[in-house]
Amino acid sequence: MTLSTSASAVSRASARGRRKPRPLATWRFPFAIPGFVFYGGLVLVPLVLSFFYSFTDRSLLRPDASFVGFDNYLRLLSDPSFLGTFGFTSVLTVVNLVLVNAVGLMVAVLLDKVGRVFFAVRMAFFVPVALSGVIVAFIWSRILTDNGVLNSTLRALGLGDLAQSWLGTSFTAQASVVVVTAWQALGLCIVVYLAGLQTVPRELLDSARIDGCGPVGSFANVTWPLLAPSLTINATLLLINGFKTYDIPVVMTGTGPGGATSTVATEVIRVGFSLNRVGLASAMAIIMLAVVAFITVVIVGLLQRREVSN
Amino acid sequence: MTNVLTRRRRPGIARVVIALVVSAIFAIPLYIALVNVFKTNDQILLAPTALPAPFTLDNLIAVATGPRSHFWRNLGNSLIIVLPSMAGTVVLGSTVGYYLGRATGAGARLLQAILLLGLMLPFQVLLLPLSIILRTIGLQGSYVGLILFNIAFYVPFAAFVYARFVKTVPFELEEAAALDGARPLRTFVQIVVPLLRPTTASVMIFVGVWIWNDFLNPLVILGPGDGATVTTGIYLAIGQYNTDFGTMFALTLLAALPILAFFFALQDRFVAGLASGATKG
Repeated sequence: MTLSTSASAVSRASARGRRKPRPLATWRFPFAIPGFVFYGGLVLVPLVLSFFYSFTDRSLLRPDASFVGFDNYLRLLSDPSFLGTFGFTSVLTVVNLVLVNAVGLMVAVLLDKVGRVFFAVRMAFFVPVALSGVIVAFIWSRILTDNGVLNSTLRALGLGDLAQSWLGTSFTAQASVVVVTAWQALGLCIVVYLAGLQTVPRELLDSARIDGCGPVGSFANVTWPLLAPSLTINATLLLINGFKTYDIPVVMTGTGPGGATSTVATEVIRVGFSLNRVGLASAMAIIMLAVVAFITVVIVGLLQRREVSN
Repeated sequence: MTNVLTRRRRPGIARVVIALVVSAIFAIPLYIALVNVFKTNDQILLAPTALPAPFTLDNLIAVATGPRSHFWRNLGNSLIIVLPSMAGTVVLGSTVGYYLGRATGAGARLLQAILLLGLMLPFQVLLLPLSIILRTIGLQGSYVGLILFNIAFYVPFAAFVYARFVKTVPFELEEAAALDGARPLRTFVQIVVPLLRPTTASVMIFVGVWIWNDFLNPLVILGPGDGATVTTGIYLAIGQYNTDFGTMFALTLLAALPILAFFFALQDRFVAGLASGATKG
């Protein structure tokens, strides 16, 4: 009770502090023109072209193309190999979402302390955030390859039976791609949760304690609801970035074995640039964009409603 | 005894130990990436997890001075691409953000929705038509083409970060400048821009890291030859030196160092950028 009144007092105070800009603002429109010219010319125009190409049999090799209606989309939806790619991309995205959020939250709570040790430890988690997917994939490929670090360590520990061709069989290669993308995404998730934890007012936690909450109770009743905006950010970032996964499968597994670790993004590039089938690749790209946009709108909508209800 | 009152005060010894163990497990790949830079190829294959003994700088020297090494040329290419891309994104993102932060009408809301689309757009969706457009206007294979695309692609992100900050700048400051006779551009440059400095650092760190680490766009737009960046260079070297792991580890370290230094120099702005997102949704 005390908690909810003080929380709404905080939000009332911040609402009073905010003021509406005046209508005088319209003459600022010229400021937006240069940015929109760039964005329009090199992002919106290609996007519209991509949409347009997806209904044609356009190829990079010949200039003429004819309109084929929904053929490309129908072909993709009945192509087992594209459905497999789409399925793997979805599983990778969902596992990343759950795994990274759960581990990220636990690590953030663990590290939410001052002191030199905790500062240094946080830095270790941040390093992969600033590394290229190419570098991350290279490092992990040295670990997971047949004569790599993982197998040689297993043999040295007398667990040689567990040693296997991690990147050579479909399931373990797929699991490897999921683990490596999660490893790289973890740092950003931790940063977002740590930033969210800084916004939890000490007074609320103190009054929760006075009301008889233990550490678990105060986390569930005070901290977790106040982390709602952090969860929204992490869920959105992980879903979008998961569905866009490109660098790690291309560099670590070459999307193999047999295309088992290909994602929608790697297929767009392979079909478009290597097979020169621009029309078909554009249809894949539009499907990818539709899924990402749908996920974003639905998830942000759901999670923001949760934020408001808090 | 731990309770909520001790939060953010001195951590217990158990927490320190757990934090160290968890981060040590997490950091194993980073440890492997670092120690193998200073080993011979035989050592890398025999004892990939051991400390380097004997310690050698040969791999770093090979990357820095080797006749077949393209490291310095690629580093130059990366800088030629990243610096103008960042500068352009900052200029165009801040002006668009200034507009979005102050405008309220239906038109502004529509433009905002159109920009929002750009935030979630995977660039693989754009690359095929983009390379056709760039070929048509003669910019395929040129730094300029890649730089212009980078700016266009990251303007939405920068604009939203700036807009969020512009909303917190008191409007009275601008009104006062207008009363003193300052025109809009002068008000923006002299009143608003100086206040945007911390936000600019936040934008630069995100955009800088993204563009430095990008390998698909440079590969498609510039091609694999003389135009390779440090990141595409690593990708190409994985095929080229596929058994010379020492050189590869040295190359990844040298390619990562500049961006890691930049990232950690500005890391408080990185956290602040995320924090403003975390508190304001």
